[in-house]
Amino acid sequence: MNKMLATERDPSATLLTQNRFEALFANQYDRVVAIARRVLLDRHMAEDVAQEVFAAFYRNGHAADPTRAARWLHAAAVHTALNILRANRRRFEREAGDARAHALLHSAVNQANNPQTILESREQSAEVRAALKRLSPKYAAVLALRYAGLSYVEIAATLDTGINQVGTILARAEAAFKKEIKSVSP
Amino acid sequence: MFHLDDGTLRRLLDEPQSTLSSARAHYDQCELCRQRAAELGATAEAVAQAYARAGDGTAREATGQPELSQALARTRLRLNEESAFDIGAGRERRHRSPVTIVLAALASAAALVLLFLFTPLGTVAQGFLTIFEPHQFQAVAISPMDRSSLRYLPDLDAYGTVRELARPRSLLVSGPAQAAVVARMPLRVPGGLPSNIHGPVHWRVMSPENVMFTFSASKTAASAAARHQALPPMPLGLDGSTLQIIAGPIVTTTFGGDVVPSKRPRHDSDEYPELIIVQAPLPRVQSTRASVRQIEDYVLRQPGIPPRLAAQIRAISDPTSTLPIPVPIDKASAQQVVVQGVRGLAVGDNTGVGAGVIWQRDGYIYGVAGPFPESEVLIIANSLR
Repeated sequence: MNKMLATERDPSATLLTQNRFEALFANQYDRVVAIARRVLLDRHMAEDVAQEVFAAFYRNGHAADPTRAARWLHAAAVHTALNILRANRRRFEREAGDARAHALLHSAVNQANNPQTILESREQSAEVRAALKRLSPKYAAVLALRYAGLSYVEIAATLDTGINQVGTILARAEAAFKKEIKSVSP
Repeated sequence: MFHLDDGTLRRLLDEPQSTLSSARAHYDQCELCRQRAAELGATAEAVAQAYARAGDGTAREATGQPELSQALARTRLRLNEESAFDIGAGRERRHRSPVTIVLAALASAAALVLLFLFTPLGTVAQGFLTIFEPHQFQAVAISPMDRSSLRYLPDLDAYGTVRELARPRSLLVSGPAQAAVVARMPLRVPGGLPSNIHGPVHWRVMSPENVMFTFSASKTAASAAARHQALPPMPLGLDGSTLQIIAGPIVTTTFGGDVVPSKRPRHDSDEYPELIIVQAPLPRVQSTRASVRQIEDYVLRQPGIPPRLAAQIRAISDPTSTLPIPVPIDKASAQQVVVQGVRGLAVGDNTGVGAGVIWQRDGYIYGVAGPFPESEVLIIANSLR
């Protein structure tokens, strides 16, 4: 990090750093959004999380090494999303509502959706969120990471655990999630 | 005989090629392990189905290049803390141009009315009722004596608690396309400009304001006592009531000079804008309990509110949708006009050097001001497309 801060004093190095940041953004944005979506079940909120995560990454001057950077971004995405999920249910629902209202206002795509389908989907999203919220953070995180498409190696790096532990944690998390989803479903 | 643990079986389902060959060989021969793997697979399938039913979590996620560029632009907005600007701040009063004076007249609506009635607000809380959304504008004449009297009003902090949850930040963007992306709103551009406008064009996006204000009778009484001042008692309906204002983003387009200095005093050599166009969604004020009338009645009874000003505000027939625009009668005059086919308010300085017009249409507020006669400002305003 010190090396990066030192190079930022050189204008040409700053440009390079910005280019690297843009390249990292292009490579990892979808991944970061996907992870946050597996927790928040809301695309617009997940995009907000991604912005927050990338902005924090840039501000803190993290190393631009792609592997380490990706690991940091994935961990930050899942923990930021989980913090939002757990922080305040009413706040979450309001913000999600605002985001949806914004999307409905500004996106013609949504106009094609069936209101009944949207309603059912929202109820299901609430159930999944409620189930995730009742899991331990480690279980919720492993589910979000795996169902966002991360490999076992990537999950192990993100959660800072052994590769052989990932399958065990995932299997337990899935069993716990299934139990919780049954308990919150009407 | 040993069997494969759940972790190995689970990975066999997802990444069979990454598991040890000895484990795969055992799996192929062991009925118990295959049964357990089937159970784990069924559980995983239930999780996948729950995500699929939720829809939004599993929809297609590849972001196209335009959306990626938009996301990067929005992230840069967050990163742009260093260039936070202060549109309309009266820091440089000594050097105001006629345009700035006219803008100040328009913007002081916020200073006067928003300060007391609608103040900064913010988020949270269920049960908010929308109590104010400006659909029309009405001039309120302010005399020099009124202005000096208003200076002695207590700060808003004397009446309750202000919580600023999101400070507006300003970002210089490349043009209308990027501004529309960052602000997430449709934008209009002028169809034609007077020939004497030559300067560069600056597009800025100010992020939304997010502040909350809660009235407190006890705090009001305490601050009045501390100031040895008698304030009227706060009505029961107001005490504890919380207001929320949702304002912005604000997009400004300036021609011939930027709108404000960036963390430095404005110098005499700085160019002043030759024309300013402001666009923003309608601000909205919500309240947990108090109505606009209740707030208005209380505020207008405060010592220091000039009776003539109070009478003008009380005379507004629909306070829930009318934004009073204070107009200094010694410096400017105002009149209702038709702009873009709707009613607007034009404010001109008394010397005829500058004018501004403000109107709302389709959920957005627009303002145009410049060192032109009112008729020319109206032509520019009507050319916005």
